[in-house]
Amino acid sequence: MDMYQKLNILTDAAKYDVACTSSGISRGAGGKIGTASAGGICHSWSADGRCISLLKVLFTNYCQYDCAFCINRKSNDVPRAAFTPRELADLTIDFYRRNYIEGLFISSGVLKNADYTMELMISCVRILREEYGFNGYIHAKAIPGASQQLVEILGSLVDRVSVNIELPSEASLKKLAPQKSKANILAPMKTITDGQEKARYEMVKYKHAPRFAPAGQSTQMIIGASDESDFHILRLSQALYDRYKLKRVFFSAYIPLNEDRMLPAKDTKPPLLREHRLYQADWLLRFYGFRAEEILSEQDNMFNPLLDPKCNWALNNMHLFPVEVNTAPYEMLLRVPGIGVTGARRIVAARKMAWLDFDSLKKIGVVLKRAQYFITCKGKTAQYVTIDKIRAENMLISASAKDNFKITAGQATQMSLFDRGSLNDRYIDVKTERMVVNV
Amino acid sequence: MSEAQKVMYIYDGTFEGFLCCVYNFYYNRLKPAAIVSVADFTPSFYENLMIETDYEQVYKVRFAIEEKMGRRNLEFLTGCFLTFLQEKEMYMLRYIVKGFKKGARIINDLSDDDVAALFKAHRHMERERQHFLGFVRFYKAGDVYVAKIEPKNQLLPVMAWHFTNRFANQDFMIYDATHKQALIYSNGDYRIIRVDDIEMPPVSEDERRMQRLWKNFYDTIAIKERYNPSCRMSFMPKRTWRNLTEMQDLSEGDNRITAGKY
Repeated sequence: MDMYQKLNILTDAAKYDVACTSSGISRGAGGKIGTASAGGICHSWSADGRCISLLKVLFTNYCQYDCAFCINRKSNDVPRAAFTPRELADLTIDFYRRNYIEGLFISSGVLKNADYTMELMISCVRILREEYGFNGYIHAKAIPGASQQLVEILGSLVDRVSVNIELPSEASLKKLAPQKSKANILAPMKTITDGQEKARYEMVKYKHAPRFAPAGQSTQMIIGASDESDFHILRLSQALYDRYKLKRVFFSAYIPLNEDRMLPAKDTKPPLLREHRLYQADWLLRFYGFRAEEILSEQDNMFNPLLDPKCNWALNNMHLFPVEVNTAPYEMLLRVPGIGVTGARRIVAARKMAWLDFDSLKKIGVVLKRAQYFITCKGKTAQYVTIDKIRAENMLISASAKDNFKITAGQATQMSLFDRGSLNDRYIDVKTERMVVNV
Repeated sequence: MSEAQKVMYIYDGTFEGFLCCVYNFYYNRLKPAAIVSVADFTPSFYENLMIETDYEQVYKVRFAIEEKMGRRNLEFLTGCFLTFLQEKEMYMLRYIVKGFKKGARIINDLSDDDVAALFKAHRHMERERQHFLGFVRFYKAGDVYVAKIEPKNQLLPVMAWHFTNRFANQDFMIYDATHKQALIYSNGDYRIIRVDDIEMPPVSEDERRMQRLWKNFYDTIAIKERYNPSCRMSFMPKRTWRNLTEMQDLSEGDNRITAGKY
């Protein structure tokens, strides 16, 4: 089999992996080739609009496991291939020299057993780091069930290690990925967290202490293959951030690849809107100082499809608004729908120089489309705007509905008058409607 | 100042030349109606004043800016000079005049029109730089890696550090066709030179094979259930496609297989 076919098969098998970030570590030219940039660099965007930063491939798609949702499961009849460590290292360097990529993202099916596969991956990374002196970004997936020593070796060689949590609960895992378990997923995760903790401690004591996965760890889970609520998923990601110090939790809308009675039917559309809402909420957790319990609750456990989580929160907490732009603390500015981290920072900087009105907000680049219903400038609201929950909800929904659902304003008004319960009932309908429009 | 208003400054198009314009504005008390580089000069009703670049003056102005407005503002202005903002020199002159009065905090005065315009242009330049760090596509010609880009802003001065660090052990050239400049790195030393027109070397058969491998990866990695061309377009505008290897049709002597393609 030539390189062309191999690359084709192993890329095709890896494309459902979500993460392709190259951020979190800044490193100058220390080796023979390569640097890493803290903000990460995207090199291209594929036809689905996802960024391409790393050469994302599986080391092999031969697999001992039989996870129901996976295209590479043992019982599937698909073309199989495997790189040799040297082939993959050479390809990475060739691509890197042409500035096609930022580094390597390596994951794998389980060939023979978890340890054997990890050893192959490690020898590939070794060639890159030690032989080529490659100083660019490497992200590796640890194989659940591999021994602790191997995870530690991998962590000392690469920038980011991650273990896929795969599904949002142990019950679903048992059902859909019987060879994996919560325990053997969380064990390597713990090893990585501990390794980082140790490296951080040693760095204080010794100048040249070895680093351990300096760009941190991430994980991903499939959304929509099992029946957990949004609240459950959000709380789980919150716990992962808190307990395992994860850098990112990625969500992947379930795309039916296999016919299986335990899974949604094969013609199910991927729940892209739900995935989008989860990412929005994830950002609120990481950058906006929200807790999962503020965004959703046990009773109200699914996202409102018509409103983003921040708007939704603001409308339920109208007693905190309007916020006076010229005096409000940074933390409160961050909670205004339509104002993000950049906008809030710019407001804080600019208001030291002059009192801000709506014109100056526009000038400094704050978008008022959503924000206008929640703020005042010098005590005044924007023209023709009154701060009122029902009216704000009406305006916000018709605005976002136009974007997301392509339905007419009349329908949107009607929908916004439903109480929350019936909105949730409509979730599925509206979702399918959107999929038809967008896909 | 009514007749003084009709003067047009003409300078050599370098940042140093522009600083001499600032010097002249302060010491000759001639308020310019426009400041243009020699390359952009077209005759007009204005009286022309040639500004010679004098390093004594450059030093004084640079020092004054750093002293009164701080290093960050000097860096900001250096960056603004690389943008493609229309009449950027006049905006920058007004910025400096205001900055001498207000000091370092001028950079935060975003509700001021001049500051806002420069801020916006500068941000555009920074963003474009970030994109082009990824969009440069080298190909190997002999022992040298060469690439061509067509950015809107003058990016080579702000990209040089990144690429010379990253590819410290490989000789390369990046040709900026918009601004007719080339960044040349060889034996651990780089310079940015002005060029008229460069004919890019042909792509060898070996190199073509490598490009096909890359395009193969690019086409395969997309998930067809999530096809979203407008999203791609907003990150990777069509004007950049011309110089992106993966967006070219590389078929001929086809050894592709169809799985994963659409």
